[in-house]
Amino acid sequence: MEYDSAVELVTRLVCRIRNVAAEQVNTDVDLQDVLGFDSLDAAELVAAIHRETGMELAVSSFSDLRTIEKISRSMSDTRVVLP
Amino acid sequence: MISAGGKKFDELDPVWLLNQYRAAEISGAGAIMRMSRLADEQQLSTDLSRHLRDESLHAWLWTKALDDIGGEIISVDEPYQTRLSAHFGLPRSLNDLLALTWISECRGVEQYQLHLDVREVPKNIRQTLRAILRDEEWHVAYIREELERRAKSDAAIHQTIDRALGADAKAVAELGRMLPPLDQRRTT
Repeated sequence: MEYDSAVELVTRLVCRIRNVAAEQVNTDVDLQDVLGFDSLDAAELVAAIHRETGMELAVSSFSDLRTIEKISRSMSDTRVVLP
Repeated sequence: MISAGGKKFDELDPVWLLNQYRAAEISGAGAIMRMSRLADEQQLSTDLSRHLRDESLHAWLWTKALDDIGGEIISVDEPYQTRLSAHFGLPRSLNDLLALTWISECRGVEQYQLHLDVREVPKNIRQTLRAILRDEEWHVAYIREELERRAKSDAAIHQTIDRALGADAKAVAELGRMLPPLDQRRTT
């Protein structure tokens, strides 16, 4: 997946999960410290990415999901494996 | 003694147990709310919406039960679901979340049934347990059916359920070190 497309998708999902406007969110904003992401938010985000792209992110813990930029980089480096 | 919410509780204190129930229902509501946004079919969306209503209602019923006995609401840092998730790892799909929720609901039924079997349970708590159990049994049934339906096109779900069962065993072992057998617990 292209990095820019990943950023667009992750931003949309983060905004939906935290109920914030896209203008309030930068790609380097700390999802946990600034937007109050908790482990359930993280699970919803990863599952939503899976639903929309078929992609299983190579993250092992909540702390791997700190920023939109980091998540999008991970997505652009991940190959989609269809079931 | 057990520490919770900055306070010390006798391990047989019903206030502590009812707070555990309340926290588990609230935690469940949070998870179901998120799953309802991920639902990919109409029937699952409908079932999860009803389930979300149930979890919220159950949290209220335990809150009321606590209030009725003059029990303080305390913060429970690590309810069963938190421990379950910690051992399972970050869920990565709706299937992961469904499997974890099914295991969690099975545990809920078991715990509430055990409590109901204690002879000295006060009438108001018994009524609450019975009402909640009816809902919990439906939760177990509809999620099991959904997992079985999904397993027809994705056999990996069986491995996911096995992982969730392994996480459950570890979570229960931890809680078992904190919880005395129900028949030894004091009732109000």
